[in-house]
Amino acid sequence: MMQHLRRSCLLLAVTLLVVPSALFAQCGVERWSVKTGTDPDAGLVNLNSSTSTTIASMRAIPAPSPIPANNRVAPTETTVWVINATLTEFKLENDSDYHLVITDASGNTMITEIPSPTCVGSGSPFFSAIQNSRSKFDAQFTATTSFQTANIPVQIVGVGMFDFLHGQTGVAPNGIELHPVLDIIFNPGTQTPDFVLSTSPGSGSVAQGSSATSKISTTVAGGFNSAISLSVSGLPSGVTASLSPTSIAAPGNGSSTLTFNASSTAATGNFNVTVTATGGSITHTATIALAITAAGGTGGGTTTQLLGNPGFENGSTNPAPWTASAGVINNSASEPPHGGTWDAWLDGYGTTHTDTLMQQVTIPSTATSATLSFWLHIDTAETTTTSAFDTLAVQVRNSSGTVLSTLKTFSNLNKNTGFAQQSFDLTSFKGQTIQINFVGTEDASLQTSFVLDDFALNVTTPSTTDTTPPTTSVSAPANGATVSGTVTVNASASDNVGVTQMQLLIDGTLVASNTNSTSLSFSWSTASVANGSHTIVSKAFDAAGNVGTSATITVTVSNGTPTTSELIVNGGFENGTNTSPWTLTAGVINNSTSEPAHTGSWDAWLDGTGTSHTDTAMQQVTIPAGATAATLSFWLHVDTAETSTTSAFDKLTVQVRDSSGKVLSTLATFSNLDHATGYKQHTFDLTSFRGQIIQIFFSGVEDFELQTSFVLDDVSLQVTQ
Amino acid sequence: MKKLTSILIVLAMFLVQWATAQQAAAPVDRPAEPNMVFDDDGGKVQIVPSDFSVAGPKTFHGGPVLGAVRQVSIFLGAGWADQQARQRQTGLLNAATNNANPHLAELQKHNIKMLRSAPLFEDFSDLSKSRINDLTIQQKLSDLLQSKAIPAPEAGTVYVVFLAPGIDSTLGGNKAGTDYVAYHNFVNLEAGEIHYVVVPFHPDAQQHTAAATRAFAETALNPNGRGWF
Repeated sequence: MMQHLRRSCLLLAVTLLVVPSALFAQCGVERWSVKTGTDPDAGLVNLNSSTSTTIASMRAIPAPSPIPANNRVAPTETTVWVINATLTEFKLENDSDYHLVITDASGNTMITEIPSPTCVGSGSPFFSAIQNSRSKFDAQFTATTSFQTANIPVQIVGVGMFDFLHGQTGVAPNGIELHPVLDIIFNPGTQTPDFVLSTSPGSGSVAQGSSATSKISTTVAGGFNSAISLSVSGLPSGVTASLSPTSIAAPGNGSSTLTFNASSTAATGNFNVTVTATGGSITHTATIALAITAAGGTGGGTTTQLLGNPGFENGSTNPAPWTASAGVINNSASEPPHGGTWDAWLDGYGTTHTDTLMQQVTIPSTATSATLSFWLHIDTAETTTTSAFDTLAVQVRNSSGTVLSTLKTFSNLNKNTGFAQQSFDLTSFKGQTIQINFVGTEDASLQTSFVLDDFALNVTTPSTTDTTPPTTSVSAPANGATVSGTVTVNASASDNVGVTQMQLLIDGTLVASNTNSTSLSFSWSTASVANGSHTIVSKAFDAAGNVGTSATITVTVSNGTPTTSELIVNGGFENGTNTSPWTLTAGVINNSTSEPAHTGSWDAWLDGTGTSHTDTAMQQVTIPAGATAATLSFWLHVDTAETSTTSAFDKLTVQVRDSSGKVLSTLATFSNLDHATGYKQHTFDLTSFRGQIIQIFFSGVEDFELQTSFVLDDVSLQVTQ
Repeated sequence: MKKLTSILIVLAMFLVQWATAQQAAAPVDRPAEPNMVFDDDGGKVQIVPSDFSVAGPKTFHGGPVLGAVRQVSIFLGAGWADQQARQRQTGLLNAATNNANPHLAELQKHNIKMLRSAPLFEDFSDLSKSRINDLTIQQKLSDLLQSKAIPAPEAGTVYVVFLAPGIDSTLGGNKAGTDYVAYHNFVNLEAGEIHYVVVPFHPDAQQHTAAATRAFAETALNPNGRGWF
């Protein structure tokens, strides 16, 4: 009883003492690709040189106008700048950036920002530098969601970026920032000149007869300024290495590509290769763990990944072979994935709730190792540092669902920034069909989200010099068949060890492929090829590199000659006041000389009243499912009494709606700004609406003054099938 | 002893509730300007505070004012599929042109042209699992514009995002209901500069409309944070 009492008191104390932390993190939106180096121009940034500058000089650069959303403004945004200043304020923003305000001796400020590595795409050339600068900042300060003041000299290395002016704290008048920060050195004057040597990746494997690369980078600090020479030692027999370039030019910031080439007789096994960098009488070394594997195998065995849809990239509508409770398969920005677009988000409701996720696999009886790995992110609104209120159990169950082992139970206490990889040895389950099962259980209050992504269940079986190729066949269409329209092509495969890839080729051209599957389907639009004979072949690959090829299926494509038909009736409005099948508002059908027709005598004259007014014209049509093209066109004349050259006061919207009037697409919006003498033809592709009943809908909306007339004629919707 | 333990547990639960409430009300960084807060990426945003019965006098800060405004309404969240909630829509749709808009005269004083509202757009995504902060709103607008689900921005376009009942809105550490009932902001996307208003659901229909109307008017008068406020 006393123990219970003490526990209650403890709960009381902890509840009152714990400082609330940020409840969740998210990435930004505005110019985010430029801020993180995932924009198409990121490659233009010269990471091998940097330019020293001052805050005053940066503030004096004219701001560009407009600022492109996803591209860089050269040279400011393609240059790596180095600024010595004083860090005066910093804060963790909700977009996960560290917002750092730096100040010069005159009181000029500007913003520098370190993004969260979890918000930086792995393809960014800045990724490792951002990760490094973030770690260096964390080692010095703890950023929180409130501004903290500081007064410490810093040297900041970063890429220029013009931000939009939103009244940000410390913003330069021209919006210039260093964003992202690539390096930060505290108290730079007191540092010994030095450099950091890094490798990415720091480990890898090369099969005999193959090659692999690693990026070697050097980053200088403390005023280091010298060329750095690179060399490699400790290579296994039969493996050569080359560096390009072999040295980094002064001041010593840069990178080199290290390529390993393993001969077909290279010694297999695990080796530590040493990279040595020397410059300015300083030498640093880094080790790369290099595994040389036998050709067609991995480390003396064959490793196969057993899980299907391991990154949930098939989306929420097709989670198989996963079985997940409702709402688990997720692509919302609230819980971004580790890789790709989708993840599995268990719990996060803040109410009593259980989510589950399961996939069943069979581990071969010959397995010498079986390792389950996945990436896990946990965030929580719980503030306790002692009580596991919300949990995620990682279980192995048998095929009946009986728990064989609980590998680990995570909880709100394991919350982390970003994803962390988890790994479990499942070798003891070899020869069994098991369910990899996750149970996320949340209590009545304060959410905890368990986000899972990028699974792998790697099983290694003894290398038995697999020389048996997979077998594969095309099951549909039948050999000799005559086909037309869209045809489903099905192929299947099998292998004594496992199929690692399947391919479908039509006339020798690859049209579809997948991995780790024994079946492959492809929806073939035969209209894309000429009538006549065509061949279909499937191929299947195994981990040893054996390839099986199916028997060739020959089919005859026989599509009729394409015909084009007109779907719009009375498209020129020449039936006069008998407007059917158009639905028009009163007064739209017109044959007055005020607004003459494009052709014939009649047209559809929308608006032109000079008062608040709306006119519409609509015709419903059905686009055949077999249509290969559907093109809407019409002639439009716009005249107006508006004089503005900038404001669209009166508008004509052209929409596609469904049969109940719901807008499916707004094709175009015209306005008084489009006024012109005579008619102009406009054309839109409606092929994507094939198989649907749609309404072609014109809506002219006029404001309360100054008329604008929208005159339509010769409306056409031509369908080819 | 058992009774004492029970009392302590109840007390602990009460204090958890109290601490949570304090946490929610914990002060966050705020700019010096009245009714301004920092948003999720560090910019300043003008809010309509929870108690907005009295609007203080506005002064001009030298920045741009919109010449005309057109409301594009976006009803976001599955809660809008509910018939009772939908009855609110009519009153919310014409924040700009509604003659009952108490800010109409002020807008006319500054020669801001009130354009007819665009047709509404509804997105009944189930957001019950999501907190909606300003970055989520910006991403949603970006997605809707890219998919052409909503009209592209023109001079004067103001996207008004009405959040369905049950969606929690936050803005840079501030919470809807407690700290604000609406706000307006802008973001630069591929489509251009986007001005938008976010209106969390308010249990009182009149307050709901009034909050939307005020935020809409303040968008016109202070679109980029340096106009009239």
